[in-house]
Amino acid sequence: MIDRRDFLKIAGAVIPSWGLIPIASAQSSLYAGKVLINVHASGGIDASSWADPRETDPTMNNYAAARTPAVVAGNIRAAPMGNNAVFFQRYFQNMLVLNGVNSETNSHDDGTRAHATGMLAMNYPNLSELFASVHGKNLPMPWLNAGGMSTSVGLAPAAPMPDGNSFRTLLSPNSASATNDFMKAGDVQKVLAARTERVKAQAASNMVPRAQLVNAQFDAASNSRALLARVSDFLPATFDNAAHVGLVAAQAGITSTLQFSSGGFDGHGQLANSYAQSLPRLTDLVDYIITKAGTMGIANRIFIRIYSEFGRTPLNNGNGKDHHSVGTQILMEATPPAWGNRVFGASGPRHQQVKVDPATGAVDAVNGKVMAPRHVHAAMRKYLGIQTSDPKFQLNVPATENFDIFNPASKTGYPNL
Amino acid sequence: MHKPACSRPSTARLRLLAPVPILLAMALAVPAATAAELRGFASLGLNGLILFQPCEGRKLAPRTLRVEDATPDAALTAGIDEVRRIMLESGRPLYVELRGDVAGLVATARQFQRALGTVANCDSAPTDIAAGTRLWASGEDPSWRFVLTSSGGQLERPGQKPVRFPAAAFAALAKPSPSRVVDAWSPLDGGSIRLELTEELCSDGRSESAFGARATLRYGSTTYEGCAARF
Repeated sequence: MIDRRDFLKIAGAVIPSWGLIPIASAQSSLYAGKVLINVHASGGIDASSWADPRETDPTMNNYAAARTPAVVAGNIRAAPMGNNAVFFQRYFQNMLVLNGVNSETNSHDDGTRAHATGMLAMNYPNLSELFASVHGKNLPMPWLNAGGMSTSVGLAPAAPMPDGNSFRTLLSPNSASATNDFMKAGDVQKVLAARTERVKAQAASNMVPRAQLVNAQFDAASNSRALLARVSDFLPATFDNAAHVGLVAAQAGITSTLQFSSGGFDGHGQLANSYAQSLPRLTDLVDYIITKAGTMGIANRIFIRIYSEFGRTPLNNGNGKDHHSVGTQILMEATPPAWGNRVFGASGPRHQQVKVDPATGAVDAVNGKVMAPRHVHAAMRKYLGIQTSDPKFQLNVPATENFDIFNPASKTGYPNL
Repeated sequence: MHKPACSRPSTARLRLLAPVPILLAMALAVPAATAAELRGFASLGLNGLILFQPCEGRKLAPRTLRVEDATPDAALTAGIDEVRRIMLESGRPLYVELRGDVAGLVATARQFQRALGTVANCDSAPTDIAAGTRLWASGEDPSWRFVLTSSGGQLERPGQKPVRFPAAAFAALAKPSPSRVVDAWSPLDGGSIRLELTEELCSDGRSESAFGARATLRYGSTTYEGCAARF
């Protein structure tokens, strides 16, 4: 007995040419470019527990008090916490660590917005939205959102990430399950073909403009449905998690950007205990995305940004850490990029702000600049090809503050060592 | 047709009157005008309305009080605003501790003690301040805490021996005043402190917390800055 997917493959080989019309038109619109994946480490991730470790001052970290050295992976160092050692040693060549990024706020809401859009002010587009509006134009789900900021400025609203079952139903309303259909696939194809012929015939007749418009809208909706149906070819029997759903949508070319949130980083008390859970959850998510993208054959399309609202202070009375505007974020590609295995920007021994030369990354207390979210976003917009000409969405970064973070020759390293 | 002068109440009127005994019973069930230490969750409504659901042990009480903010400079409202500005999930009710009078379903806040954005429910409410604590102040950079109970005061600093003081030295704190200064000598451990308390909103803007008083403590040649939640 053949299963539904095998049947579709065979049917695809013998299906009459009229049955291929919507699929053929759909294939021409599929997205095969870079997929931006934003991962919001929600709560304000502690730089000392992440990629800007402090291993000698016991007032900074429990691991420093225990004399546990930092993880060293290529040119990158990481806190000896959670699964950091495995994660950083596996992916150091894939990542650019940005240390000393100043969120210019201690507020969760403001920090979330500043890092999502690049600006503390409101009404700037989320990086995901800007990306979707450029690269995901005309796709059925240009921006799939499973967490983080989803407020839209009207360029390309986020579509909530569906669960596996909802996704399957959305793509293929005829599917009763992964292996059974409500109606025979052949009958559905005949109905679709008849509908296409009818629409064509109507278009050829002398229709009034309003009827032509309605016809065109129906045709567009049908094409969009055909695009979604195209994903059926990539549907697995089961989905592992939301990231899997998003990656299948990316593989099928119906989305351009995915957004996730991984929480548990607001460690005001007993930080080491809570981070023992939240750090592995974050690194496991990113590891899953990269590994799965590899098995799905789309690793060369994946760009990942791991960011948070802000950083954290040294240890407080409750063995936790409070909000601190200076923090760390990480940019990655699933296939090691030329700009990987580097650290750009730095913070002081207690994560004080440090100024760096925007062009070289070298520490420069006199002429250096403070790196803020708008600088990181300006560089990412350029790298991802999503610079907008709309004056109201400009980041207004002066030329003297263009941080050359993607230049493989620029680096800061860890000046505190 | 002529209506009788004294008719039976209509069904509609009966329906309107039905809740009255229940409301009376509810009003009588809650204690009247008692000064109390209150802890629970506050929500802000329109036009400055503060609703307060107290914690009873580790559970929320099944009643909501309307709070009249009679604290100096409306410190309770300002403290709630201050924490809400930076906290995670800023729309949810906020844990607060205060002193006030409760009459019926209205609480009049007299002293704002602290608001903590990191407490999610009564079960996880902090237990760091024991009942009967007369003064509790703490700060960071460097970390310190001063606690005064009826048996005495103690200055605590991580990695250092606590410094103990007799309770009698802090008698001046009992006098209500917006600003108080106490000098005390430690006969057991040596050294003297000067503690200054000012009743005003105190927040470091980073710990998702706000307190009702500012505290400055000088011990030896070091000055410690912080906030007080009991004062």
